[in-house]
Amino acid sequence: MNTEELIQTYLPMSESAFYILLSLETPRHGYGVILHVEEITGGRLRLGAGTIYGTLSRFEKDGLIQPAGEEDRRKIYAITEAGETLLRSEVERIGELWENGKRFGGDGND
Amino acid sequence: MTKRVFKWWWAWKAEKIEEWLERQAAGGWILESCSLAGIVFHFRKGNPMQIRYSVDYLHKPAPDYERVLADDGWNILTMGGSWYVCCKEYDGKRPELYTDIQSLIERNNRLISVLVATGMPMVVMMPMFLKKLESEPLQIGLTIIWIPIILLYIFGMGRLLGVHRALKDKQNLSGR
Repeated sequence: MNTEELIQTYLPMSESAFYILLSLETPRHGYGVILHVEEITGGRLRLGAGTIYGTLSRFEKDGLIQPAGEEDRRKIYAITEAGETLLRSEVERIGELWENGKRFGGDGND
Repeated sequence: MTKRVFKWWWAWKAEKIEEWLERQAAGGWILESCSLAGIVFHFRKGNPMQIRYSVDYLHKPAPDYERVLADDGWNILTMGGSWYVCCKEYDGKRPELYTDIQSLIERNNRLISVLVATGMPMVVMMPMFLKKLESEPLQIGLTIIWIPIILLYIFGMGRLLGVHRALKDKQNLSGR
């Protein structure tokens, strides 16, 4: 898939997909992703192991992530350049939501 | 003490068997293994436990799947073929194997494809087979057996496609 197709397919990203891809800015195995996402969301988001497996498989197939070695027979993944591009587009989109939310009173300060 | 229970269940209503297994565990009957393509359940008597059971289907065995589930505290029992029942003891919030809509859609799609792969040949081949039979009573008898099977198959597909639609609607509403 080229960048345009990836953006068409994945954006807007689900919260799970976004956090899984974001976690792989640092190479991690599946369970490492579960723990990291739980930690950075203050325990709010605990991803299911089935969700992790399915999402990593799909991301790998679509070239968003790639294998980056093994640790104790656990496959380690890292984000690819295509994954980075997608993530940047999504962060920009979320930034726009946030800006507009504040600008038009969605933050409750109006 | 052990017991063996025969329990029929439908792929499109897996939550029923999951809840039944959970009630067994709450009564102290802990699932040890499954046999006969996942319809005979072997239990061991122990202390009552709170265990989440989740039925899953994969097209082929995947060591990575087993690894990430095991790391997250799931024990995997094979039901037969590529059917699995994943078990996790819990306290507090009931754990889920799938926590996002996209993965649930993919899981449902796997069930639809296995139903198509196993059911379609039966649906297509049976009339051809019946036509070739020379004995009329046998033809009628087999047709009487065959019709409810076809109806059940159509019902099951309808259920899975209904789940698919509901998940898609939910996904669209949530902006995905």
